[in-house]
Amino acid sequence: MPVNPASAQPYAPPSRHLIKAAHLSKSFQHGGGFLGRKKRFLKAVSDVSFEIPQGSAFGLVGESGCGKSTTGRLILGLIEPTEGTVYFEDNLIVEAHARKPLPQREMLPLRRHMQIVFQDPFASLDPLMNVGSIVSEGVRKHKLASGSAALDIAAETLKLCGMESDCLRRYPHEFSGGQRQRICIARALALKPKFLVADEPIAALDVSIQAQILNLLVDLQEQLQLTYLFISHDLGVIRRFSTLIGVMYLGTLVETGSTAAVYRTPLHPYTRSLLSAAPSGMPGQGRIKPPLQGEVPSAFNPPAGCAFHTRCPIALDICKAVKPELTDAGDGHCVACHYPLGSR
Amino acid sequence: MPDSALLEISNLHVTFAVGRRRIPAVQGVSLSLRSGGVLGLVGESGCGKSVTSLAVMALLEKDTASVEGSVRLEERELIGLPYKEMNRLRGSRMSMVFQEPMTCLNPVLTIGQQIEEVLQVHQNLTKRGARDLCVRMLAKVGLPDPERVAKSYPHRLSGGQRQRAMIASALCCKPVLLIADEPTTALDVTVQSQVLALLQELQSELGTAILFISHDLGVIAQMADRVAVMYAGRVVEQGSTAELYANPLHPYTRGLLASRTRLDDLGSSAGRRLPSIQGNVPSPDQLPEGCSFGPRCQYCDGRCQRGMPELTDEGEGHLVRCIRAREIA
Ligand SMILES: Nc1ncnc2c1ncn2[C@@H]1O[C@H](COP(=O)(O)OP(=O)(O)O)[C@@H](O)[C@H]1O
Ligand SMILES: Nc1ncnc2c1ncn2[C@@H]1O[C@H](COP(=O)(O)OP(=O)(O)O)[C@@H](O)[C@H]1O
Ligand code: SF4
Ligand SMILES: [Mg+2]
Ligand SMILES: [Mg+2]
Repeated sequence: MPVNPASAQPYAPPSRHLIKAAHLSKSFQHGGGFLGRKKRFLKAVSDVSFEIPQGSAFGLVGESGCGKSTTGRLILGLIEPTEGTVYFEDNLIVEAHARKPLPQREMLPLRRHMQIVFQDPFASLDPLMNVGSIVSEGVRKHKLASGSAALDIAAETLKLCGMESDCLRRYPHEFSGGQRQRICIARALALKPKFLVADEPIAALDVSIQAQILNLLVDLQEQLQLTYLFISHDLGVIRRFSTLIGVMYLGTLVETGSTAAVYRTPLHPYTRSLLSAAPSGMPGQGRIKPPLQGEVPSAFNPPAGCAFHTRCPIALDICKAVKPELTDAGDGHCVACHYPLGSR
Repeated sequence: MPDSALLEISNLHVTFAVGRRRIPAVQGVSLSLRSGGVLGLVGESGCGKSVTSLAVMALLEKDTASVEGSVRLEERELIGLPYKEMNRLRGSRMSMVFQEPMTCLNPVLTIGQQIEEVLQVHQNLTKRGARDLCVRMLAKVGLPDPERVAKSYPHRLSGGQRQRAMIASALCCKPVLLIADEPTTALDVTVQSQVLALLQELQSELGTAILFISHDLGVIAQMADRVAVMYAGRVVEQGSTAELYANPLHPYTRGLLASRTRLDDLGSSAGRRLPSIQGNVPSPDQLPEGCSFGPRCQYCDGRCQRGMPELTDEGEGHLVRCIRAREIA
C-alpha cells in the first residue's frame, strides 16, 4: 500500500465513535417578520449523517454556504436541528423535537468536552477582558477550579499553545492574528475537552502564520488525544490535516471516506471537480480548464433529485428526479451519486 | 531594463501620514512589466501590494499619502500628471479590477449604463454603438443572456457574475495594462478557476498586460510569467515564475513555498506537520534594523542586521534581497 501523510499517522483511528450524527437537517426561516415579508425556508443542512472515531480528525470541506458551519454548530448543540440526532460517546445530546431533553445537570459536564474555535480570532475575543480571564472563564464556569487555580490552568494551557506567560494580564488588541488564534485555542482547551470543532481556524490568518497554527493543532491532538471536526474550504489543508473527510455540496454530504482514498480516487463528480479546480501550486501547467460551469444554486430553492445535477458533467435523467443516497462503495468510502466515477 | 517595458515602476515610495505617525507602506519598489506579459505581485496582507497598485493608478488620497519615485506607462511619466490627463488614461490605456466588485460598480446604475458611460467617454461612440459594444463585451466575459445583464443592477448578480461584469467594464476599451488586485480571493475554487481562465483568455486575445496581485502562490503560479515577492513594503525577490518556484533564493520565499499545503504532496513522508516560518508579520512603522525579515529568518546573523540588503541580480534577472542567498541556496 502506498504510504501517505494521512495513513502514516502513529495512531490509527480506532473504530469506536466519539461523535455520531444521524440524519441532521436544519432549515432557517427568512422573512415572515412584522414587516409582512413572505416566509421562506432555507435548507442549510439536509439529511447529514457521519461518525467521527475517537482520536481522529474529520475534515469537512466544501464551498462557502454549503452548510459546514451549520453542521458544526448542530453537532455541538449550539443550534437546534430541524431533524436528526447527535450522540457524544453513548449519550444522546442533540435530538430534534426531543420529548425528553437531557437535563442541564447531565448536559453541562458533557458540554465541557465539546469546544469550538472560530475563523475570526478578532471577533471572537472580548476586547474588555484580559487574556487570563478569557482563558480561565470556562474553567470557572464549569467549576473545574476557581481563583488562582483557574488562572494556573489558563497559564499552563496558554504555554501549551505557544504563548508567553506574561500574556495573562494583557488584552486581545495587543496581539497579532496568529497569537489571538492561539488564545482562542487555549480558551477551548483549558477545559480539557475530548472534542474540538475547528471552523476555518486558519482562513483569516496570514499565509506565513497558517502553518504555525496548523502545526499547533496537530501537536495538541497528539498530546491531548483530541478528536477534531476540522472545517475548511481548502482542499490542500484538509488533505494534510485530516484522517477522514466529508465533502459537502448545497447542504448535503456527497462523499465521505478516508482522506487518502477520497483524494486518490474521488467517486463523486463534484469531489473530482473541486480537486481539479484547486491550483496545483506549481507553474507550467498551461491554460486553466475550469471543471465546472456556473455557480452553486440558491439554497432557498435547491434542485430536485441530486442537488449537483445542474452542474454535473455526467448527469442523466434519473439525477434530476431521484436523490441519490450516501452509500458505501467499499471500505467505508461512501458516495451519494447514481453514477459514481469508476463504477462504469 | 529592456526598453520594451510597458510599465516601469522605479524606486516607488509611498508614505502615509496618520495623525503624527508616518507609515512607510512602500519603500523603493521597482518593477517592470513587458507589453502583453503577466507580472505576479505576491506577499502577505499589509506588505504593500495594493498601495503599489493604487499609486500606479494615482488613486491614493493626496492629503494623506505622499508618493515619490517614477511610474512610466508606455514611456510616459505618470507621477505628477495632471488629474485630467490621468483620468483620460484610466479606463482607456490602463484599468483595474478589485477583490470586491462593489468597490467599483455603482449600485444605483445598471451594468449597461456603467459600461456604456466608460465607452462614450473614452471611445467617442454613439449611444447605440456603445450599447452594442457593451452587450458584446458582456457576452465575451461569458455572461449568459448579456442583454438582460446589461439592464440589471449589480446586486441582482451573483458574486462570480459581478466579477465578470467588472472585468467587462475594465477591458471594454482594450487597455494596454490591467491591474487585477486579488480578483478571485472572495470566490470559491470552482468559480475562481472560471474567472482565472477568463482572464487568461482575454489577456491572450487582447494582448493586455496584467499586473496580477495575490497573496496566493498557487494562483500566481497559474497566471504569471514573472513574479515579484514583497515583504514589509519592499520587493525581496523577483524572477521568472518557473525559476522562482523551482529555485527560490530568499529565505522568506523559501519558507512560504515550503509551508504550503499542496494537493500533489502525497509522496511526502513529513506527516501532518508543515515547515513553518516563525514569528509574526511586522507592521510597516515598526520594522527592525537591517533586513526586515531578520527576526523571523533562520539564517539571520550579525551582518544581516547591519543594513538593508540590496536587491541584487543572481543571474538571468533573478533578483534577491538577501546577503546570504548564495550561501544557503
Ligand atoms: N443563522 C442563520 N440564519 C439564516 N440563514 C443562515 C444562518 N446561518 C447560516 N445560514 C445559511 O445557511 C447556509 C449554510 O451556511 P453555513 O453553514 O454558514 O455554510 P458554510 O460554513 O459552509 O460556508 C447559507 O446559505 C447561509 O446563508
Ligand atoms: N490609507 C491608508 N492610510 C494609512 N495606512 C495605510 C493606508 N492604506 C494602506 N495603509 C497601510 O499600508 C500598508 C500596506 O497596505 P496594502 O498595500 O493595502 O497591503 P496589501 O499588500 O495587503 O495590499 C499596510 O500596513 C496598511 O495598513
Ligand atoms: S447523481 Fe448524477 S448529477 Fe449527481 S453527481 Fe452523480 S452523476 Fe452527477
Ligand atoms: Mg462557515
Ligand atoms: Mg491588498
